[in-house]
Amino acid sequence: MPLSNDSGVSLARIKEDFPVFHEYPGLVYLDNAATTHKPDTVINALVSFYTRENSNVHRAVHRLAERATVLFEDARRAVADFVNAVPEQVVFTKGTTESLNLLAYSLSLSEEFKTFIAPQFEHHSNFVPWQQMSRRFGREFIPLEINGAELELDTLERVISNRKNGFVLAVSGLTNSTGFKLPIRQVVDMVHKSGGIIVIDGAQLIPHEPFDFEDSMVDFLAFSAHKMLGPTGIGALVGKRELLERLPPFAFGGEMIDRVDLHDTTFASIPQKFEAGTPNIAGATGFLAAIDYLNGLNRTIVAEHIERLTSLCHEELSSIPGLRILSPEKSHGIVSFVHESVHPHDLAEFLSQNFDVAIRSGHHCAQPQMKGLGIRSSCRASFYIYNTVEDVEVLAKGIRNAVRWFG
Amino acid sequence: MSLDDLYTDFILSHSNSSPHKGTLEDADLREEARNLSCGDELEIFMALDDGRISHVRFDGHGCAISVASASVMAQLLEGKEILRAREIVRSFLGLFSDDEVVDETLLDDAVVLKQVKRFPMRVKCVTLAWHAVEGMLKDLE
Repeated sequence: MPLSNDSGVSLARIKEDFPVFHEYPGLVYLDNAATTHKPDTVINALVSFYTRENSNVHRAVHRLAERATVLFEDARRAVADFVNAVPEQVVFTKGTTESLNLLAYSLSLSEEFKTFIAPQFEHHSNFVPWQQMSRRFGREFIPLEINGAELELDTLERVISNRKNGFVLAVSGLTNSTGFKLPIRQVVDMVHKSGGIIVIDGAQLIPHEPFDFEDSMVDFLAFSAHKMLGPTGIGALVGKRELLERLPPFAFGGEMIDRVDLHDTTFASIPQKFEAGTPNIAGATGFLAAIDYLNGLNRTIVAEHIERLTSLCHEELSSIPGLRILSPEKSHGIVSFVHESVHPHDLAEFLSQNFDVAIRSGHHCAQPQMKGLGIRSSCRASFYIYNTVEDVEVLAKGIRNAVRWFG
Repeated sequence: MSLDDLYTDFILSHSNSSPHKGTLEDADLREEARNLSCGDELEIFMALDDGRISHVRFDGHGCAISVASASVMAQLLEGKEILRAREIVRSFLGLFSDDEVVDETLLDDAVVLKQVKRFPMRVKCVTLAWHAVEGMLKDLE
């Protein structure tokens, strides 16, 4: 398979763009679902901002303030284009977690939605906000049953059909703990037919494949820059315009106001209504650089490359005696597993110390999902654009060694 | 720093087979030790007899480090007076803090576990059972 992007640069040489791999040439980084590494263009964007544009946005009229504001809004446009939305629909947040908390809070205040539904495989950040806001605001919370690592559409249908009141289904496009990919189009249709709205946690999905917000009919989409080559501390909430306009704001302060009187305040229009306080301006410029980098690659080829690594990993790992793969057969970018005789932490420690392989061990912020699989913790290998076939081979070799060593 | 510094024969033998693994039906005290960030859960059982700890057992799931440390702890605390046991636990936890002066003579074999301090991510594993016991002993007369 030709692993090249539009400009003919081989994907195999992509590591050269990432300073971390110059620093640690032997590093096999397979913890991309937690956060990805950054190309030099992203790192340079942060330095460049603080060197040349540093200023607050949307306030002063001096030259630096103007440049900072233009850059910040360029970033918003780039994020919007990346998922085919319009800039007014893009709210900058600290990341997916804040986007989802914002939604859970504002949707609770709106009184339109009486029931929040989230599958039990959700990351805590797309589970606990709905659960807790339900408790605070007296809404119904339904932790949707799962089968192993998968959500079955029959289960969903049973729960959402014949609902009398508006409901919210909050669900990951791609689960972080196992890499289960939601059939989004079908689920969106089902939810809308039953009179609900759908929130997609796109933290894992958006880094991996082209997504068309407009065409998807999804009501809200949340994602983070740092899982797609960008800096930490910045992410986005994308929403349907009429819904964003209807929702009350989440936090109050500068930038989100219109006119402030002694006893009442009117608010700015979207998206500023949801952006109280000085935003992460430098982060936004880094986000912009990350999107530029991804746009320079042929994303279909990238998705195929990652798919190939994922299925190779399934193949290699399933031949290791005593190893159980927890991910669905067709998982994307993520392979979770446990070994019957080596605890996940011990395995991860061994791989790091002896093979310079970085994987995640633990419950992956998904305790209900771990319970559903009948385990307490697991190991997770997750791939991104710079990973190679050799990375997968080193992982498999390392696991075989660990099993012998601990056995 | 190599893996052998962390997974010593001492730790591996304690984690692979510990005489103190199991439950105590007539325990006077029991406490759950949970490492919420990684999903490890150990339950500690303790039987008391006339101001002394007569039996300690632990059960549950944990990594090699947390299990070995629980095993070493059980071995060390059995037969000790409660006051003494408190001192031992405080000393052990002191091994992993920068500003405590520790009487290592109280710790016997357990002192070798201080090597884990060089692996900061695993300190929570090595202290898991000990924190639970610290809580169990605190409320005793």
